[in-house]
Amino acid sequence: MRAFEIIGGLLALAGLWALPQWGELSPYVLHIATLSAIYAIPAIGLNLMLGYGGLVSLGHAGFVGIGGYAAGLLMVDAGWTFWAALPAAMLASGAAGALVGALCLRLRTHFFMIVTLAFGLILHAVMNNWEELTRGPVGLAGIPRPEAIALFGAEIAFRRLPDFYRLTMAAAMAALAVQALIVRSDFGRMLAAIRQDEVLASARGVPVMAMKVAVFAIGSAIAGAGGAFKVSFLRVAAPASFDMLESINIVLIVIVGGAGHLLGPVLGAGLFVAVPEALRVASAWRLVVFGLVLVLLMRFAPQGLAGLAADAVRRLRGKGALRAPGHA
Amino acid sequence: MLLAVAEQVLNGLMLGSIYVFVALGMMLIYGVMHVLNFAHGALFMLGGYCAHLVFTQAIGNYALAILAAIVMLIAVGAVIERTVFAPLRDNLRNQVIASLGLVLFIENLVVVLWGPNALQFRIETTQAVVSLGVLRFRVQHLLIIGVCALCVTALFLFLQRTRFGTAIRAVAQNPRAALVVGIDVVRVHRVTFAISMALAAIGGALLGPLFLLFPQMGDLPLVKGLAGILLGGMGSIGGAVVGGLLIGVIEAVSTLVIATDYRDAVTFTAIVLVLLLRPQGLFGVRTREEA
Amino acid sequence: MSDAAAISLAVAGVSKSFGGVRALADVSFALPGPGLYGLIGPNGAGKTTLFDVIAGRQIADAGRVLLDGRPVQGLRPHELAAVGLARTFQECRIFPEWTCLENLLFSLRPKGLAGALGRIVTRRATAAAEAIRDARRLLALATLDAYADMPASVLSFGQRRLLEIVAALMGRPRLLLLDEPAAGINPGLLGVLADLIRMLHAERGGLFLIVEHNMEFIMGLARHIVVMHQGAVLEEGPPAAIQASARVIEAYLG
Repeated sequence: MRAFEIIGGLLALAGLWALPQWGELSPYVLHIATLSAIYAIPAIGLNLMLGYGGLVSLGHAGFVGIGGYAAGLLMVDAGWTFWAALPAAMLASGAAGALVGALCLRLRTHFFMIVTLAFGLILHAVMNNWEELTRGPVGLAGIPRPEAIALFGAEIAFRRLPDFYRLTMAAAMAALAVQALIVRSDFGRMLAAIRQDEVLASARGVPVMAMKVAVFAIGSAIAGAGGAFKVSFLRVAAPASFDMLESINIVLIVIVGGAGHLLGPVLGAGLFVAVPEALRVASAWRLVVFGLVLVLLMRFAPQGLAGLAADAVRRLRGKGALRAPGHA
Repeated sequence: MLLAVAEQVLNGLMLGSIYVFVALGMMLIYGVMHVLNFAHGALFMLGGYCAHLVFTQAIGNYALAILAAIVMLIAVGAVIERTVFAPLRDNLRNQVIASLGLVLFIENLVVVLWGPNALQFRIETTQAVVSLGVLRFRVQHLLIIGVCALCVTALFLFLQRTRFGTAIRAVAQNPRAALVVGIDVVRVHRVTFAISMALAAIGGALLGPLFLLFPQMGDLPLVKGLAGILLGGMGSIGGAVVGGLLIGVIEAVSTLVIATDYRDAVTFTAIVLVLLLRPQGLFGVRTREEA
Repeated sequence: MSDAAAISLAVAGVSKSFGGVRALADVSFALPGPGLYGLIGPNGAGKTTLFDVIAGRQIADAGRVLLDGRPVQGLRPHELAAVGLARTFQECRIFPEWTCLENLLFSLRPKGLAGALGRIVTRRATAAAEAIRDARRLLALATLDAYADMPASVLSFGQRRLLEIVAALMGRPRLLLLDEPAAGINPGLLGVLADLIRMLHAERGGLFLIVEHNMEFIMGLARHIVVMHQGAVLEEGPPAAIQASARVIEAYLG
């Protein structure tokens, strides 16, 4: 990584960290920023599956929901702390992802999409109808914010929005770091090989099925973490937060941001949550616009915003069109 | 008990007929263009709204309102086919994602135009009841089943007996060969899309008066239609018809055995089981493994 | 992995049917050591099916495939890669997004899932300088050195075929299966391709089994040829003997 990228990254981080201190920012802005971070986390999970592994899952919100409900139930019914419930939530959605993945991943393309859609719907139906456990359509209420911790002698109270905001921001950064480590590792290379040509990857020694199950489980576990933060933020876990539309929204975030780009999910989540709020448009209009943007992107720039930015940077650096010497 | 079963079977056939409208349309587009159009449910919903609009604002005649909805939806479909699906041909992933974008676009545009609340679509046949021995049916139920049977028969005859129908089947079987023998593949795609839109419009316009019109009313029929296609073995018209009806009946009869709340989950589970155990569908023949 | 200098491949009594059609009927032959071997036969002779069985893409109904005397039938493609088998594809497969160099280096990466998961935190997927030197040398042999750092998608079909072969060899396989390497190649360049395969074999050793449709190409390349016909082995021997065999001529003409 180049020096200016590191410096730019650090500056951005410092800015995000200091956001609560910026003058008279309304809590509303912090609310939006927190929600963006919370959307970015499951989007990073889906980016690993869809962007890097080529697995188009249309039921991702279901796995966010498993994490959200697991965390919520452990905190509300079992009295666990958020800090204990978070890893448990990740484990639960990761295990569910591994199970569903092992069942479904031998299906290809359309069939895989349909079966993931069906699993998302099943999970939603269970959240809606298993009233003894999930409290049904009204949702599981009374989920607490994370317990305060002491750091360098100072107490950080996550009940307060500025500290909760910083926590979700840190969690999103951690998810980004995990994503970057995975993408640049041997695991990430094998994933990229599978995305380009599954048959060839297998002939070169990549255990394709096991890899797909693994990335499905990892992506689902990250989604589960997002779910835990989401229910702790909203103070309630309700089925409507994890329905088919939500699954489509996460796909939208990943694609608009730029599937297969490290920062794509963050860009996408920020746009998805913040821009419509800034423009103060009604929620139906914003989805009309996002729907249209998604269609237009597929048509004219399927690489997404991060992809467009990367192309622009490449052009600026003069590495523009790659041309072979002689004929191509 | 027997009476209850008979009632639910008929109920299921009615629901199933609605699913057949969705399943046939999706199946045609999938078979001929190899596109999985997740916006089909939203278009189905749009058909209901169009019929309602014409019925309440213009003519007040149900049959003419359905016809108008068909025309309107064919027009919408033509725009979508030309601007979205045709340019993205051969890119499965991007087509599916674009169709998800269309779902958001259409459903929320309807919210913007008509508001988020459900609309009533009052016509006489929803109230009228006929008796058949001890069984009593709403006329609208019988109308749905009848129109479905009519459409399916017409579609079969069109595909089997007409030149253009043969061309459609040829493209579905082997697009390259169809091109070689001089079939206008682009035109086949457009007509197929139009037929599929007409079926969606009829389905939406028939279902609307029975319950209510609301922006998400197409979501479940979409999934049920998909389930029907899968049961029938993705790729055959007859399979889509039988599969759609079967889903309706299974769903309706299942309410006798398990809680109504889980009715939809039964279908979703059926999708998963069929895909995992018999990906070729209940009636399909397993084709040779992909190389 | 043992030495490429000592490698044998044997097929013993392999049968395979599709539906009611018998594609392979009790096929047996042995290729006793390193060298260039050919597998030929008229259309429908079963050579592609046999190739798929050896490469782990199809599972035989009966019979065994022995690599160095050890049964390997039923292993999946990635497990076969781990015991020293590499292959190329008739339709020619490469990783189009990666540079030519990366295409080669990927063959060297360890592929175990558990290990890869463990290394996510500790190590990036970078290659040793020595491996890079080796890869560049192979690319130079394949006259692709000018393209080493370009995405493989810019290559012509013929260049992709060359890249595919050297990428398969990069992992130092003991057994290399080549699926119709001459298919789709400009006839004027077939001599160059044959020279390259010969040169790469001299350089890397091991057992090359070449399934081929193009008679002239394979006759000039292989030292021993197995001829299949109607799902069974019809004849075996050096090119000269095969060309003189009345049975082979009859099978091709009939």
